[in-house]
Amino acid sequence: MMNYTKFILSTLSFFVMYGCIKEEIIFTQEDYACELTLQNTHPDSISFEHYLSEKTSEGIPGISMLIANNEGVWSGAAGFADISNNINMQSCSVNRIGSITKTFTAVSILQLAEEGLLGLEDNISNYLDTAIILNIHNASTATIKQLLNHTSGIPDFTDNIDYWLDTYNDYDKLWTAEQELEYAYGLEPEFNFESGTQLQYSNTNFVMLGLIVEMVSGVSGERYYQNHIFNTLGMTQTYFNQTDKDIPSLVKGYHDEFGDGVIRDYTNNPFAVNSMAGGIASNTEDLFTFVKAIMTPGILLNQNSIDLMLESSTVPLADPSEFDYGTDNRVKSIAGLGLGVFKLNTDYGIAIGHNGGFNGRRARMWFFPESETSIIFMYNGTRFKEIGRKMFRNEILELVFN
Amino acid sequence: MKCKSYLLALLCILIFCEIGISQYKSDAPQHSLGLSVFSEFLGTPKHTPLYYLDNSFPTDNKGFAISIESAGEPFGLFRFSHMMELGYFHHQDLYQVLFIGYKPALELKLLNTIGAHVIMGLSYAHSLPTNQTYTFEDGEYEKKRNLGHPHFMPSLGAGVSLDLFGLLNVPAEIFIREEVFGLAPYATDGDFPITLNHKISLGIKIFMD
Repeated sequence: MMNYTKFILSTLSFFVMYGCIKEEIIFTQEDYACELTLQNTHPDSISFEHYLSEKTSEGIPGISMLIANNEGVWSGAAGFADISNNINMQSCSVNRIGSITKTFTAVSILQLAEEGLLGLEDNISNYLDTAIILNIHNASTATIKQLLNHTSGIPDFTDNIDYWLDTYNDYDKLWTAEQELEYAYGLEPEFNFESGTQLQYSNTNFVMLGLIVEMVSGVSGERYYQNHIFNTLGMTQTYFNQTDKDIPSLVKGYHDEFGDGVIRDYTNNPFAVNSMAGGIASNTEDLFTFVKAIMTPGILLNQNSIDLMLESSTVPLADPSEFDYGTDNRVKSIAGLGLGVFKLNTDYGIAIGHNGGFNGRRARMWFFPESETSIIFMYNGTRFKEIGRKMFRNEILELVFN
Repeated sequence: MKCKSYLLALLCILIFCEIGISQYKSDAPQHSLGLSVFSEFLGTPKHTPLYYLDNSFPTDNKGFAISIESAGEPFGLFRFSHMMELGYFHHQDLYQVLFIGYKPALELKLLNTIGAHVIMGLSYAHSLPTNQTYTFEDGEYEKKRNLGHPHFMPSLGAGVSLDLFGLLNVPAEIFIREEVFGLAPYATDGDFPITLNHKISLGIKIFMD
């Protein structure tokens, strides 16, 4: 018995001390090379830099940020793009932007509408496979516009626990749009309402819109973005449908899995990389170029399309608690949803933009039309909820506007 | 017609019971060493092996276990056994787990050859990440040996076995077993108090008496 006990204790100790750990790949600063295109002209550069250093000293692994207003432009970074190889984050570092991709997809749909290839009031059943229409709640009644402003009432496939279990069972899998949509088949929405009567955010809406872009344009989503947005704007450091192996300069994504201050590298998770609901990787400077372009008629969209994009839906929120920003913050409440963009009421006027992120990464892209201010930032750590919330809801706004 | 079927089934059960009395080759307690390999995956209770036969098997997470089992004296077709199991599995690039546990089982054996069993388990599991982790200390991240996380690992399963002694005169038994288990506490994204896992094992039990 004593021998068994010794054997078991030895095995456990050996496992805990020497359990197999993947060898880390060595990268150099050159591997993360990116092109700085902006000259810092903002008079408050020092306080912005100080702020980023403060955030990394609180635990954010690495952060890049761009601020632009009528006083000038500033972009900077702090912390690490890759902790193990001691690579610094740069203002041009490429990170995944998650759901900010939805704004690119909305622009694509509006461009196709301008060309007369589709109509925003068209029923989506005109464009999508019968299997999708028959199996997804409200798909037979929803219009393209209702997908764009999340009033379709179509359930979010990420609400299906099977999707997450299968993701964790096959961590490297590259999901196709069709495979993602299958998780919405037969799924009852959390809030059941007729299309167009309430507003509830759903990733499924933009996966469907991605399929519509591909079907109507006749090219892949990747090709569409490249030809009609990235190349048009000279966004040379923006990628779609590329894994971490395809983008050598992609910063590492770190996640605090157990919420105990211990982070690990989640970079190899290709979550949503080929989804037009979340698959773009970019940097702050390219996103700034994109924000300016969608606010300026004649570059990506005409004035009518921009007006449509920024027009708020007037229907009530199905779940107001989802957009509860608290009463003591600079960001007060949701002012509405446009087409692929949120509108927020803040102490400094309306903010238009989108958030994005998943395990290991967060990105924010916001524009304040009244003061012509852009605030774009990305960081490569998740489970820092309190720090992250304070940053956008209060601290950065106070830093920029006060 | 339906009544006849029920009667026929009842008759079969009675015949099997009659044949099955003293179907264990020995009335004495038996000791065995078990070796098994298994495939592990996360899943809700609906994710049975049948579900995955219909939906293509979802994972290549592999594991193995060794066990020492002691079976008591049979009573009719049944016998209780007690097992100590030590095992390991690797779940994608997410975590690896070593577990050790006590597993009592109830076995039914027919014709000295075919068996079925239910098994429960109370185990201790220890998970470790599969790649380097970093700890935030004094304002910066440092590489640090990760000692992992302890978990309670309850399990429940069932399986079938084929005794090779009756067929090949080999003192061994092969078995296939499906078990549902959990790791608690666990937080894949901060919100899961317990994981729900499945494990399908294929193994051999070698009798040592």
